[in-house]
Amino acid sequence: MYAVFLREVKSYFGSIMAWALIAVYLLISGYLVAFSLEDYSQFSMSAMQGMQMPNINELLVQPLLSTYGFLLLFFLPLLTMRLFAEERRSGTLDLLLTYPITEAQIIFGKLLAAMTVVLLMLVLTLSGFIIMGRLTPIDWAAITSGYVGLLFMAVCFISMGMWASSLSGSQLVAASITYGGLLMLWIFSAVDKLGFLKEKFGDLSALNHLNNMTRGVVDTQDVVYFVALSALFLFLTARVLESRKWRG
Amino acid sequence: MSKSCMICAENLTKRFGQHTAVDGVSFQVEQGEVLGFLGPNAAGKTTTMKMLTCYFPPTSGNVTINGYNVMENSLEVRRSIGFLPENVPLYNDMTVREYIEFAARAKGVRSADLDSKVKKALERCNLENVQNQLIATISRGYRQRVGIGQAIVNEPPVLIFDEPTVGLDPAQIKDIRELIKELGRSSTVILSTHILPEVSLTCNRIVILNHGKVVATDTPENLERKMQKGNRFRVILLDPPAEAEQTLRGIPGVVSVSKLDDEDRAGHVAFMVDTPSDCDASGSIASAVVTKGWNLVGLQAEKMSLEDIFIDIVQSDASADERSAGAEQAGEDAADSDKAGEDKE
Repeated sequence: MYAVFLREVKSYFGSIMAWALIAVYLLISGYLVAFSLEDYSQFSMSAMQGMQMPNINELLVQPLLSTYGFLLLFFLPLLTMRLFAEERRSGTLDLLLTYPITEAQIIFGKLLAAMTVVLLMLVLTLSGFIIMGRLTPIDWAAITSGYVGLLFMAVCFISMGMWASSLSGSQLVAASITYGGLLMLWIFSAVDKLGFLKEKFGDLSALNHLNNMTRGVVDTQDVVYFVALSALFLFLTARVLESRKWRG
Repeated sequence: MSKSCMICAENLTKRFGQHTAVDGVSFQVEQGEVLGFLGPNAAGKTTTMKMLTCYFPPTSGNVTINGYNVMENSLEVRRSIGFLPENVPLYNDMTVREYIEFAARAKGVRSADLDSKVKKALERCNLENVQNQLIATISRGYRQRVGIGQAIVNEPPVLIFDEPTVGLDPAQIKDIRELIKELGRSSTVILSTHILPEVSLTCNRIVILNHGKVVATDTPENLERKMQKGNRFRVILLDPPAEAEQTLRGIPGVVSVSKLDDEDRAGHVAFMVDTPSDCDASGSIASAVVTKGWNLVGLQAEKMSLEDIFIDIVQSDASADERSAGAEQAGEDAADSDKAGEDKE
């Protein structure tokens, strides 16, 4: 597993891919931090006249964390699309599958490599909260649970992207399927607002589960949701890789 | 199963839907042997190799490699083999050295041995001077060597090379053949090819495959001997009289004589003299010519080349197929209707 992990990490950081994704992600998140700080300061100015101090956690930290999650939806398919599709196209997958390593080791090696890139992305976004923390007291516990939620969500999204990537030799197909799937997960939270389907579909939305965690609530059902969805797609990826054995 | 048997394949069959790619292939490879799979394209060479390397399991039949069964001990089998796939798929974004290191790690070489094993593989494949180049930038010949390098880096007892010389120039082909011969001294090697001189130059034994079946298994020398239907001698005389052909035909054992029209040099006339395979007429031809007082310029036995044998075997197999095609078709139809019945149940 370590060999595959090391190769993938080198491949990400040896090319411009990971750097470009991280840079653009930071650019957008940095802009969002600056924008929401500005917004918040104006809002608190006007709120000063009233009785209540606006809550920075509710108004700033939480929306920022869920926007980070929303941004992952756009960035992760680009990160995962090459994981298996490229190897399938070039034929290196055929060789890799004759090495004395199991499919699970290959899958987890690749998952961890993609997570390394995401981890670097997210750790660097912490800088926004560190600046905020210097200006005003913020709820670090909620931020921690929010980041844990983001990591859970990233694993989940990467698993889905990896499965899509394992299906064919085309990175475009992989990215399209992943975008489709992730947008579905996002749309469920919009359906939520319709009211009558709330019970059924709201629970399927990845962002709803993330929002619970950005509030500082680590509920078993949110953890179970992300773990179950990740496990499902990792399992499906393994099945796709194994399908060469029984497909005839 | 004898102890020295490194690879034992029994009745290997692989079906893809209705298509049978490999059909009841059996062979054994002794330790230290270099075995060549020879066959036209789509004969089942690659499919057989994919079964040996545990890429996919056979539909039926059994293989043991180094004492491990491919179905039950797939990881052990994969630890015992080094595989070079057709067209040499490599990671273009890695340097040669990084790639060999990756292969070593993935194959479970302990980190303490990593450097020495990688160094050895680079040396054996003569890759030291390109070790820091990106794989995307090296030549076809070097790619092939890198492919062999990743196969041998963990020093497995069995090496399986699929078309190792395809797409190389003659000098590179010679180099790779030398390398394979060299590797054959310490490991058991299977290689596939559709190039005939390759097997006779590198292999101890040949398995000829056609339409997924083994049509012949033997040493290159034996195959040539077996396929020699009769002896043919080329007799070259200087300015022979008109009766020469008649005289040669009169020699006991001679079946036919044909005079070749084209004269290489002035006055030289060549005759092709055929005799049955159990009759060596060279002595009587020579003495007949000498008694007559003709000038004998050359007398040599013509050999049927491996190429002729191969084409002969594959063609005779094809015509046999045509004969049995009607019967097979009927059988397949019956199988189809059986299957349909099962589906309904």
